[in-house]
Amino acid sequence: MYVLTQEVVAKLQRLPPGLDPAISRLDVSVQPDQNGEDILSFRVVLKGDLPETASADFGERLMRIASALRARAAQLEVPMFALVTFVHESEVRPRTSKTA
Amino acid sequence: MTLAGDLLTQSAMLAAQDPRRPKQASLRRSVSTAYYSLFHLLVDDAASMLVGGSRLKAAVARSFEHAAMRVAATKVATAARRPGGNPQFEAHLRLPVSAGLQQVCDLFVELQELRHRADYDLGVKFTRVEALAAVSQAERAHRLWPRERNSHNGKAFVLASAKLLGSRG
Repeated sequence: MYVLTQEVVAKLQRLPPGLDPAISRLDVSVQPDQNGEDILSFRVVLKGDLPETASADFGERLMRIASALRARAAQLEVPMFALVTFVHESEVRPRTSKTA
Repeated sequence: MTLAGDLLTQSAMLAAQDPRRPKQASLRRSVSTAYYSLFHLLVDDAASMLVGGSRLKAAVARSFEHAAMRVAATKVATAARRPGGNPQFEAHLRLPVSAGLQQVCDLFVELQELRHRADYDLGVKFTRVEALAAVSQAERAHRLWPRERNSHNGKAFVLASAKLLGSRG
């Protein structure tokens, strides 16, 4: 079983240079896939304005990020598939309750 | 419009539904449908490549398995990123694997994994951006695949997906 050390996690969380400036944060974890095998999971938290509809251009932008993260994982010899998902910071920020 | 194209359109519509408060059902179906749009795009092409337009095409298309396609996609993408790791499989390829085919293969594995979570894992809450990202990347894969389908490595991917490429070199 592959153990993701803190050192490797720290390197994976460091954004590759020249990447999309709209990345607010990068979460890295190891999760089981549909077959129960470990996969590396990147959750990319985006900031700023995003398109409200799907498009191949938006897909290309996200794919560039995903490719750079997968290349970094391969460079660090992480022997797992890297799943890359995207959320916007407004979707993950904890809600603050407003009270009178 | 093809089934794959219709599914892609449908997945985009589902991701955009309920602008203010998207329903989990819509987002989950959107992610799942994005995967199936890519699955059917690849399978339709693969079946055409194997038996052309004959009456066997539907039966051949039906024989493709999600798991086998995932294994094939993983092998091709891994050969692209870290050549030398699987010489027996790589003997069937012409290295280097193009960036476009690598991305199609990565997206196939990724969307299949997301589809599994969307359809079965009720502990995960999907967001609109996650759904839009999945659909947008499926759209990107739809654009990339036509450039790769007739390449040597594109055909090797199709044959491996159909389990027609043995592990022996």
